[in-house]
Amino acid sequence: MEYFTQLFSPDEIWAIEAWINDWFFVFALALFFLECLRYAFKKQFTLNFLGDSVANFATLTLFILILALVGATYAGVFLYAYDNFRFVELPINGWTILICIILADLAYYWEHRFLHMNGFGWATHTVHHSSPHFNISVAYRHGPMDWFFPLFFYLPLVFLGFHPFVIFLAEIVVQVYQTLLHTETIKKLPRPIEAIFNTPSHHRVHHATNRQYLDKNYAGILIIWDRMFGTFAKEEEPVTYGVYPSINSVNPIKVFFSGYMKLFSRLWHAPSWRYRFNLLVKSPTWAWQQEQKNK
Amino acid sequence: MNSIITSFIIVAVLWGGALMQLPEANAIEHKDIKKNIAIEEAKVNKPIANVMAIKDVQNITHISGLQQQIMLKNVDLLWKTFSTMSALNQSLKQQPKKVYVLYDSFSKNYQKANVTIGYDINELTKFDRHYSVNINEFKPLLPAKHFEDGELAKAWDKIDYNRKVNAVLEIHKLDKTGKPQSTQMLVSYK
Repeated sequence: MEYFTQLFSPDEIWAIEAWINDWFFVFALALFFLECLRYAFKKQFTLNFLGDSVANFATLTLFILILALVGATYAGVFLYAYDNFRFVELPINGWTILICIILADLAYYWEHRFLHMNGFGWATHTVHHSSPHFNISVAYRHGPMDWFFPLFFYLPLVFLGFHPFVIFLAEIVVQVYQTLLHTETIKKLPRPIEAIFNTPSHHRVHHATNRQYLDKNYAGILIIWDRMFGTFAKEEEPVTYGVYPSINSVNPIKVFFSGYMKLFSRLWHAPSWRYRFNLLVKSPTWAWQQEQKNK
Repeated sequence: MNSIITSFIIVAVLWGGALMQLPEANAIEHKDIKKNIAIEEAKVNKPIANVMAIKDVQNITHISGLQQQIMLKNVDLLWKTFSTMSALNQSLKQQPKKVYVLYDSFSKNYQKANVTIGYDINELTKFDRHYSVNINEFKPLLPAKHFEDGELAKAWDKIDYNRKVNAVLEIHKLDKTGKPQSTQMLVSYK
């Protein structure tokens, strides 16, 4: 219990965060290497798999370059809001961190659901979904605006009195957990775990193009959010990964900008301003249905 | 829509859980100082948790800042948190003259205590709750002068542990740049 009430300084939280960030990537690379061995053993290690994985890490590089440009502003917004608009100042200890992780996980659920529900958000998130494979490297397949949307969903935590560094730590914990879900190696985990936590099985469903799996399982760490909010689907039939229409490319630049290129093309060819507005705010399924009608 | 309402309820419950820590680790809220003083004056003769009995009103100092039940070896962390409490520091009228550190509610082995670090409320424009200390009840352990950290630590050995210790008080006098100029250490027995 004492561990939960022991105080941390913001600098210590920052150090923990940096440590997780650095070492988890090494750990993830090691896991990816093991996955490659598994695919090789099963004779499923193809040239497309290799190209797709290289593209995934290349999009990560591009994303980090963007983050280097906007990261300070992102952190600055949190720190400014904390200094000027927080309702209370919560102590930085284990309880606060634990509560912040649960709230950040709930925020992640809504952010993720939001990205799937409108054209502007989907244009960046579709990059992550566009791989026809499912392995740890896919977790690092980022779109150009992936940094932007979390701001609006995590910022309210600042007003509740959580220190920005605690929120960033919580964001990283959710991301790290999410990363580990991108694997076909683990089939199903024991029932109580599958009931409460997000698992590789649940997340395979999220990446599926099978009709009954579409727009399901948005959770980060806790699958209970999907169960509570009616967006849960259980993995029953084998999953087909990717997006409609598929991008059929391992070119990192094409992959990285595919979502916004598609969105801009749709906006350019839109018949009216109302249609353009709908392309931005309505779900990608709506855009696809309109195109099918016009064929 | 139900999902969104449910989410707000979950946030409220979890945040409520986080707020329950506040009486222990005293988070500072901005409130009107006049209102606060009126309330606290009304309370002045009532014993507040961890507050010494009040005998001589003239010698009572009201401290507002950060309070936490903590292992004494971890007091440095409380200092770090105290130094980053921007709301408190922004509430200072000017460069503070003194910082008070009050140790009370000691555990049986004196490894743990309720530690309060704060400023005299007269130096603040805004504050939330405060802790009242009657300095007349304390006996000096160290006179007010500059001490090294080691000397301050040794002062704890001068405490008569055969008697029940009520509280230990450190008063750090600060210079114009906010650096400690002198430290006075006092003890009060039950």
